[in-house]
Amino acid sequence: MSKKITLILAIFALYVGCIYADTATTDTANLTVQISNIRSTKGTIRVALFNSEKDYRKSGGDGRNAFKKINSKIGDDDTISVVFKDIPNGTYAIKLFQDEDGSGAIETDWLGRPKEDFGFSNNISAKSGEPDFDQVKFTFDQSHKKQKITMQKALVSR
Amino acid sequence: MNGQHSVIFDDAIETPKTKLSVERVLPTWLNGDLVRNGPGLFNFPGVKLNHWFDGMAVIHRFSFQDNQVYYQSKFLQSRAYLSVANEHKIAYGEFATSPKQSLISHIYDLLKGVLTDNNNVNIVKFGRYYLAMTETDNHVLIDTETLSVVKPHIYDDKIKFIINLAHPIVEDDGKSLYNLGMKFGSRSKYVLYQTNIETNTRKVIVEIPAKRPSYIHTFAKTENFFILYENPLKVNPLNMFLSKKPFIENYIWSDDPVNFIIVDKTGKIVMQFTHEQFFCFHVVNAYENENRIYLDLIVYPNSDIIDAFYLKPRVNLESKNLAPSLQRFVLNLVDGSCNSYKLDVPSIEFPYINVAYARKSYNFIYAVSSKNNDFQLDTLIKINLSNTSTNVWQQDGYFPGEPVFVAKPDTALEDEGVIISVIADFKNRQSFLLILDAHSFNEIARIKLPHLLPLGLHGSFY
Repeated sequence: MSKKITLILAIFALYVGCIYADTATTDTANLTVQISNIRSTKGTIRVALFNSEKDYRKSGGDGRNAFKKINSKIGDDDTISVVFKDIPNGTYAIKLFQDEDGSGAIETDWLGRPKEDFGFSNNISAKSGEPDFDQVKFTFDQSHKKQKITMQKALVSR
Repeated sequence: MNGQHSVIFDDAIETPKTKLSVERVLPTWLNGDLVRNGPGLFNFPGVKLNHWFDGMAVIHRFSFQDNQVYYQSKFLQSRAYLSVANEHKIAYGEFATSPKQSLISHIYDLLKGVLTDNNNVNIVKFGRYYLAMTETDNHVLIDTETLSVVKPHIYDDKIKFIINLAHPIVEDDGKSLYNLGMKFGSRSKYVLYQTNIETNTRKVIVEIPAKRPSYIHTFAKTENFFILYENPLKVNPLNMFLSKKPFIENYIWSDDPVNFIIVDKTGKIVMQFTHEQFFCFHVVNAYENENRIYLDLIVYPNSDIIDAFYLKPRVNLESKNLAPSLQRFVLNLVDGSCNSYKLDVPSIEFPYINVAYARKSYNFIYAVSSKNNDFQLDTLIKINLSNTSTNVWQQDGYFPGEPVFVAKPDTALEDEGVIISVIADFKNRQSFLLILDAHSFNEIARIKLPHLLPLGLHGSFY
């Protein structure tokens, strides 16, 4: 008898799991980030995707706390595209930088000004400080699956 | 303000009194408060600040008592800060950022002294308060416990300046405070004055006419003389009134040499010297010996350094003009000659000495320096002036703030004490207090802070 109940429960769980998986599939998609104005082929482009304001704010110069991260090679073209796969619908923000020296974190001068090119979602310009989450956040869903980001020039030279 | 940022200028995080973890044994005599000031808030919605010196002031205090250390910080609640924080607008002219206003209201503000009270440069003990200062005549008094603004510091006199320096010379355990104000108008003048803390009044020592006032950040004093140096960076006061440019952008690098003005204690101008051009922010020390004044300044070839501190620099940061050097000026009070020479030591800024040796012959300078002898200040240095030997502390990725020397009580040695510096690690978004033995320059302790602190500018230990 107990084997029967176990079997029924297992089938039920499998059924629920299938429903859940199906739902998850329909609510996720691939997010493509097109990055342009890459001025040199040095290093890689590190792209950090955030799904909360708190994580965005505390992400530091190496994109820690990011929901997903991609480290992409740079080709001969001044534009590359990276794809975050199976991203649930929701609100996100992106920050990225060109890791020329392979240190894993954006290089700054002694005042904290970036020495490597960088960019933000919504193409928000960082003129006097890193943009607020509200400025760089975007909605990701079936009809908004692409972000185009133009690299901004480092504020100080290396 | 959003707290921690990863690029450009980081915003400070206001921090209640927090006990820090001290894992090493500190000198038993190291008791007191290190209080620091500096621009610490840059990011406000809809507001664009242009320059490092435009950042809103943040006061930091590090309290040392019996091997325990506490940290707290407070955003200085100035009118300027409240305007950018609450109304998202710049209400007062900052160092390199102007408010949006009509020419008439700009002129009115200058005439009435309605200038910024964003006192983000320096902080000193002043009676029962701290006095937070910037380069306007709107200094504020700060509660030493809460770090909150108590009130604007308004003197009981009728003197009013456009400019009032943020580097007063403090003597007699804080009882005497000398400073330099500037009046702009058809008859612009420098006004050297002494503050009487008890009566809250200022006694004018001398008024010196200045057709084109210089940008002056500090001045010097020996036992018997005051020394003003007029940088070639000068302003036509009329332009200051008629132009809505940010404050510092009204100043133009002139063809004039540097003019030293020597004033005795009675206010008499006893001598003036000229010297080929340089630009200076900070005096290190000055003293007299056998009718000569020895004046140590940190000099730049020109004022490009100001352009380098824009959030988006307006000058090539590789330029050699940005490397500060230590220069000694010897002003002969008998024959009127002025000789100078650069000391053969690396670039330095944010100098600090044992204050007991201010206005005296001295041997040791502590400062922030540069590993590559350029603009990137990434090293702490101790300079022995007797032989120009140096000790350094440097670790890649760590950027030190002004090193404050704290003397061991009752010591007879100039360098017996400790150096305290706030070190910024931008990559790991972390700062720590570094305690060095001032004599050996060996590390005594690192005390981790709760988060990354902006580098800040100046402070003192009380």
